[in-house]
Amino acid sequence: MPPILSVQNLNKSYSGRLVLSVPAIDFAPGIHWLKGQNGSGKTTLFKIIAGLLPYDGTVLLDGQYDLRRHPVAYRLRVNYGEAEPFYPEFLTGWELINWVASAKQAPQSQISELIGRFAVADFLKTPVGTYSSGMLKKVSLIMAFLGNPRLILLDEPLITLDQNATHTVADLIQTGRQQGVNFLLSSHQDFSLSGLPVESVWQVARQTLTSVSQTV
Amino acid sequence: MNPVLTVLRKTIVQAFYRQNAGLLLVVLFIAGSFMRSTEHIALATYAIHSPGMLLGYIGLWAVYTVHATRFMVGVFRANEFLLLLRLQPATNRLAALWVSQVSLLVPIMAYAGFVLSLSLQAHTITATVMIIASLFVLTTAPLAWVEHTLRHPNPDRRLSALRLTIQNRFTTPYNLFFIRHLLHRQPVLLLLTKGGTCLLLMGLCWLYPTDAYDIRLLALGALLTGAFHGAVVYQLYQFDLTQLPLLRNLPVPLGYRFAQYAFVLALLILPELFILLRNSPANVPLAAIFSVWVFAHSLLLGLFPVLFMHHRPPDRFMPVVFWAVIGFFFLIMYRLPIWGLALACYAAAAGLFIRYYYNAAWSSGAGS
Repeated sequence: MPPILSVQNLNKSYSGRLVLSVPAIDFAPGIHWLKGQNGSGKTTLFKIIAGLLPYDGTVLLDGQYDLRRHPVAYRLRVNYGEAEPFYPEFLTGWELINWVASAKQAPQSQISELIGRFAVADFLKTPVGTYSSGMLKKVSLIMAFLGNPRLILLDEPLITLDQNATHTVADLIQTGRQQGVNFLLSSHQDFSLSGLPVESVWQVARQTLTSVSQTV
Repeated sequence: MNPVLTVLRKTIVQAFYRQNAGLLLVVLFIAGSFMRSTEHIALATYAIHSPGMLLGYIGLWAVYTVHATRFMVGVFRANEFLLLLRLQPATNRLAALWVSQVSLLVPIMAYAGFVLSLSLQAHTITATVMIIASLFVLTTAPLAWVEHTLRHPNPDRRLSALRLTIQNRFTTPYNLFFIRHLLHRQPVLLLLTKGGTCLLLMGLCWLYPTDAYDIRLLALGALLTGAFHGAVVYQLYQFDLTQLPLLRNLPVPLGYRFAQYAFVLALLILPELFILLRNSPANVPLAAIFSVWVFAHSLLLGLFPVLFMHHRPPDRFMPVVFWAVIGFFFLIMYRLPIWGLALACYAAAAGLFIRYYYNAAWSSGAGS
């Protein structure tokens, strides 16, 4: 089966200090769980794949969309949910969601459905500066599922969430996978206990990414 | 050093100066470019003999103090671990807060010291007392606000009925995100920049008919307008990379992104267009007036992608602005057409934007 994401000769440095070097990795379609200690480079890798950080190397989606050569087509198909979302405090969750939805070409029905699933309607029209970390996380997750992505990157998707929201995320991942969406998840929590069909587990350590196991 | 002071210095004082480096450099730039030292002394000498003028000075110092104290209160609200300061004995706590407050007020204290020295030399007792009393009040009274914040963490934030209605009915378009950010987080910078450039352009428009000036005079005004907006352009860069990082994940063509920034910057300097149109000298054609504004806009747009090439903290961006001003000064004086300069600027801006937009990354170690 052709890989959903190929990473070739990826190098990322901060101020001349190498933080990530991935010679060649192919992610097969499915759900992938990336593990790693704090500061190991998981978030940096996610941000690179999401197109948020400059890098050296090649990132290819579906064997045809190169992050550099097809910046719009690639970004239309890759969504990102941040570990610790941070937004301008004067904007409302509604404004942020609509902004992202419009760019990701998400229909209004999808917005309404996600707002309902995460039960955020009550506070969505107040500024995000008044939100708790869990509320911010829900807004971030809604934005990560908007549109019609091929790959969703979820960085620590379960932290700060209540039990209902945790189940919602697991359901959305499960449903998304059935519809052909692929996921890269980073978490310190054990996904194998959540019942999600994790395709493979990867370890980010010593500035690189290695496969730990296939089909857990 | 006292650990409490160290924490406050790093979280409040250093953060304040990093965030406001652009604003302070704009003030220094304005003060240094328009007035010589003898004129500064003459102005301060006039102030110590005129209580009204001195009150104006003190009013400006008070505005700065409110700005600085608001920042300190914001840091306490955003970083709950700092509320542990409440557990310190009152004397230690207030002493540490006072030292922090004085550290934030160094720029106005330096200027107040200069005015005070003139006042002492001139034996103007009223001015001396007013300056010393104002400095005492400005360094101590804000502590009550900070202390209140420490005693009342996480206050309920109630929105007015009008604001709730507006938020329920309207959605802020992306093009207004940054302007709302400026109004919300950098009102002093915005006020100072807009006030400075509008007054400058108005003054140049009035000066124009008094001698044999040509369009180059207004072009120099546009050049300074672009330079004064350097700190605002930096804010746009910082806002996008630190508060809207997700922007770079959105599937938006580069050309459209460039057009959006051009639109935002045009909105920002729209007041200058109104000033130019309203005060335009009688014998200057409308197209020439418009070219002056377009040139100012192109300068702003040209400065912006320079920041994408590699991260620069504000104090390292201002020399870029300075050298751009020097370069364009000579180009204007050599009578190069204003439209041509603007087009060259737009072309350079577009080239840099396309080449470096996705290279931009904020480096928190180099500035906040």
